[in-house]
Amino acid sequence: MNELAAAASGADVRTGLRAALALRRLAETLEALQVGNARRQNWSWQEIAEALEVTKQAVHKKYALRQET
Amino acid sequence: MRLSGDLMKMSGDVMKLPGGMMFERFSRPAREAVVQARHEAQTLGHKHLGTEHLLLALAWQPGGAHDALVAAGLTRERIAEALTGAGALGSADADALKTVGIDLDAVLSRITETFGSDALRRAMPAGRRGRVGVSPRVKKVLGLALREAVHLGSNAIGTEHVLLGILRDGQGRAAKIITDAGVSPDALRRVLVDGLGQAA
Repeated sequence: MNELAAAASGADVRTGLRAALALRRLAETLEALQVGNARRQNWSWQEIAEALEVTKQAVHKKYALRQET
Repeated sequence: MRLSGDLMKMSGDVMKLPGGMMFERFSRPAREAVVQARHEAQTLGHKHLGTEHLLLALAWQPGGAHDALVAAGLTRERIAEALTGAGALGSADADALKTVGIDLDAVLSRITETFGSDALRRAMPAGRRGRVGVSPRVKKVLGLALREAVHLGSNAIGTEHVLLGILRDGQGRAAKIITDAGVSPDALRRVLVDGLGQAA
């Protein structure tokens, strides 16, 4: 966890920023996966939005056009 | 019908090439590859049609460029792997996540266990589906493909010439995927030119 502290505290700015980018990509991946899963299980956009703590419009705009391929 | 619509759209993009290059000069497989490249970009949720999508599309249907790529060990699966790895969560991300105490491999294998091996590719973080813009490098590569065709005395731009264009340019994601796979661009080039010579 020393590494974590070092990265998060910005001891090495570049490393810290890169970690933030990687976390964002991972979060986006997980979100997309789980939103797709929720939709397949017939969750409404409203329910998904509440779970993600965003507006229904935001989640709909981001995912509604994505089709399963 | 869908295909011809896409061809029209693509030709609109491609015809903005310097030198007033015409989509009509592409062979049918080469046109289909360009259209397929657009679908590849869309499927991956990418906003730009890059050389990497072009490479993936070239490895799609048997024939010219496909056969040379497969012979060099660059199958469609291998290219797709290189592409999705670099596009979303690659080894650089894994290293970065390690610094904040996250084992990316563990996370990904858990996801694969739950959702299947294809889930990650489908859930790729990316922009919304929609208009896919053609990158300047793709335009350059297609321009180089025309020059290769002219230089080699072909009367149409085939998939081989498109791949030769990618190699000639030597920059961009497609060229990097090729060299990262340990394939010599010069050797691949020779295979393509020899193949064209035999066909002529």
